[in-house]
Amino acid sequence: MSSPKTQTSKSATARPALKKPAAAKSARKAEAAVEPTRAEKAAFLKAMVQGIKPGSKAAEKSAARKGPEAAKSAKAAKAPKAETPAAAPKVEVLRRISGAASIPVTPESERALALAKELEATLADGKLDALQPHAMQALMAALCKIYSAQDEADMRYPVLSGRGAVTGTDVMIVCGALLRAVDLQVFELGMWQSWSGR
Amino acid sequence: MDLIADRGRRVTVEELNTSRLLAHADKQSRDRKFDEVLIVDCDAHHYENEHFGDILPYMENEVFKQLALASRAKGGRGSVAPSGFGYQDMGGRVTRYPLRSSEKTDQSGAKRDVQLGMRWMDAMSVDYSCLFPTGMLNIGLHPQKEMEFELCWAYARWVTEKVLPESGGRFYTMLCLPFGDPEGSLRMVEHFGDRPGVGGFMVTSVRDNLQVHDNRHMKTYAAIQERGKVLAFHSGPHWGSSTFQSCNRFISAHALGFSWYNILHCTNWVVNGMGERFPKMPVLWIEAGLAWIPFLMQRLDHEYMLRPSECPILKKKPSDYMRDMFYSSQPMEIQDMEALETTFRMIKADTQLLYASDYPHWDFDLPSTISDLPFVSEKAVHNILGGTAHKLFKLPPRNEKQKANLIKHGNYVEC
Amino acid sequence: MAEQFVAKASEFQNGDRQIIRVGEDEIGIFKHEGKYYAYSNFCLHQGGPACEGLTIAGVKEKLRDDKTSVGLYFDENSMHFVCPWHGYEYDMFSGEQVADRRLKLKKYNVVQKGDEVYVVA
Repeated sequence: MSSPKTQTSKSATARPALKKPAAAKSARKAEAAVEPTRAEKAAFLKAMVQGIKPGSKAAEKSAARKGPEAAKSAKAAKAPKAETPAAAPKVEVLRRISGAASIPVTPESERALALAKELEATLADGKLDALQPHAMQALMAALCKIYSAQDEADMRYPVLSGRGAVTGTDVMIVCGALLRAVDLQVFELGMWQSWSGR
Repeated sequence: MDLIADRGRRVTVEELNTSRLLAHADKQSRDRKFDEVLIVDCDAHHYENEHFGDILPYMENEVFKQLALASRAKGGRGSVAPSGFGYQDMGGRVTRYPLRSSEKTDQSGAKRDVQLGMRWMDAMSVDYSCLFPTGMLNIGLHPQKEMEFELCWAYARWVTEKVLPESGGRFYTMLCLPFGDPEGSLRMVEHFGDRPGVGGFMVTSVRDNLQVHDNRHMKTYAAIQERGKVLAFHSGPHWGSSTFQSCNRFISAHALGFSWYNILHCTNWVVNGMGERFPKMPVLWIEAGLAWIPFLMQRLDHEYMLRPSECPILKKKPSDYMRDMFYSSQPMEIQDMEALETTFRMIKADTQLLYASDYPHWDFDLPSTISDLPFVSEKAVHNILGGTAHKLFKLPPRNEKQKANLIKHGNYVEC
Repeated sequence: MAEQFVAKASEFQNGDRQIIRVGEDEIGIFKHEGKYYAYSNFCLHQGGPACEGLTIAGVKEKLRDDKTSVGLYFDENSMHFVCPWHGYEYDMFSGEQVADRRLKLKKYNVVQKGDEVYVVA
């Protein structure tokens, strides 16, 4: 009907040693815990990746549950320790995945970041009058206009970088002041938000 | 290619190459000598929605065909098939979803799907795969029974005439039936039942109003049984259902949805004695894992002992009928090994469980999930991975060692 | 155990990674915020290429003192890498599977000598 699979088998890694379900009953009696032990989980996970190796503890345990004969042969299968040191492993580069190219910082952003850092420092030093009202008004107006224009142009992103950047009180004070400055009521903001979905 | 991670950060990953992505699966296959084991995957998928341009012309009714084709034309605002919502790709964490279109193949259309299929089948050492659609699994949510029939019909024609013949016999399918249209379902069984590669028929079980025991479906079941085909129930999630509206996370709707639809339809199937009515029709429950089965067996047996008068057709316990049915293995809940061992015993996994990968979906299982279980006998491993499916779907071994193993474990039948 | 050459440090940028095969092992070496991390490239789940998928910050949920939820957010202090097969998510700094931290990928030491980066394997 179709061509046979290519015979690519190369490794002699054995499949996990097997146990008939009927033999499980006696083993189950001895194991009170419902959850397999961590070691059992680890052995299983290892087996998922590479199969239970002959001579390993997992193989012995599995064989022991099968019967005394199988257990004996599993122990006998334990591989003797290598007498000679293994040859140095061969290193091969499989893949090199470059990180995404970083977006270059514009000169405006660079200066804005420096200014933000400077203003945060004045606040930390308690110099509340460092930024004078006319400067604050110009800065606030420019930020409002740019953020709004970007939003209209579908360049949307969170207005703050993270939850800890400002406090909720900070936001309420500034939002209230901005609304008052353009003579808007909170319910008008609510209406606009529900109509525009923004 | 770049993917979007946290806070819009871009992360470069390699473009998709299924063979490279599954290189470790290939190693597992070699280590375990899977070449010598007939492996049948009873549930794998392709994305038929990428081929609607080829599928829709097979619709029969000219009015529905025009509606469907117009909806896809530039500027069209129609929606042909129902679609679910959710985050199967885990926000791009399972990279083969967002990168699928980046994978290069020599061919396009149906041939591309076959080529992609061969890549993962070869890596996992899967000999045969039952190909199912993806988006069409929601066809049961279409409010129009006419459109449901038309889409099932068109898909069935396309997949049996264009896709399966390209696969060299390595794909087979169980065609989805328009259960909203019982007469249409019967017509499909009669029309497609004897086509090459049709192993059976499938109920897309994401349906809120399906009554599997409805008298209108009996002719369809009889026609399937008469042809020696399999009836499969393929489950799925349905976050939009009123049942799952209270789930605020996709994990909840997904974990429950798959189990729920199988539990629902299996209950009706068993309680109404469908196993007595169609004893020779193999029934297969797909993609809900295994943990739901012991639950339902115990629950139904418990109530049956108290209320047998409601199920007078039954001649044995509900769980006995459930043990007569078949189950696909994926996504196998490998969490509590003893519970899994008990499940295998309760469902008679040695003869009733069929390996399924569900590739390329996010929770696919490799054949090693079966072969590496420490409590399963060698014979059971062979049966589950392919021996049982070989008998059900009459799929021949692909080399002499596979044949010898089928004979050794008592599974071989002439195909 | 021997030091295996990985790459020139000057050519290994933040966000870059390299997958190497050393004998039978495959190792993924990441450079994240100036530091190197190296782990086995075999996922503990089904053996997928654990180090070759998306890197993404961990998701957390913020609760108020009264136990009401504020919502989900990306934890800026964390970084995970995700196995592309099934989404098994590992902590970049420890190799622990984040859903069950008892499961850990094998970790390898990385040393830098001059402009050369080595992994000890």
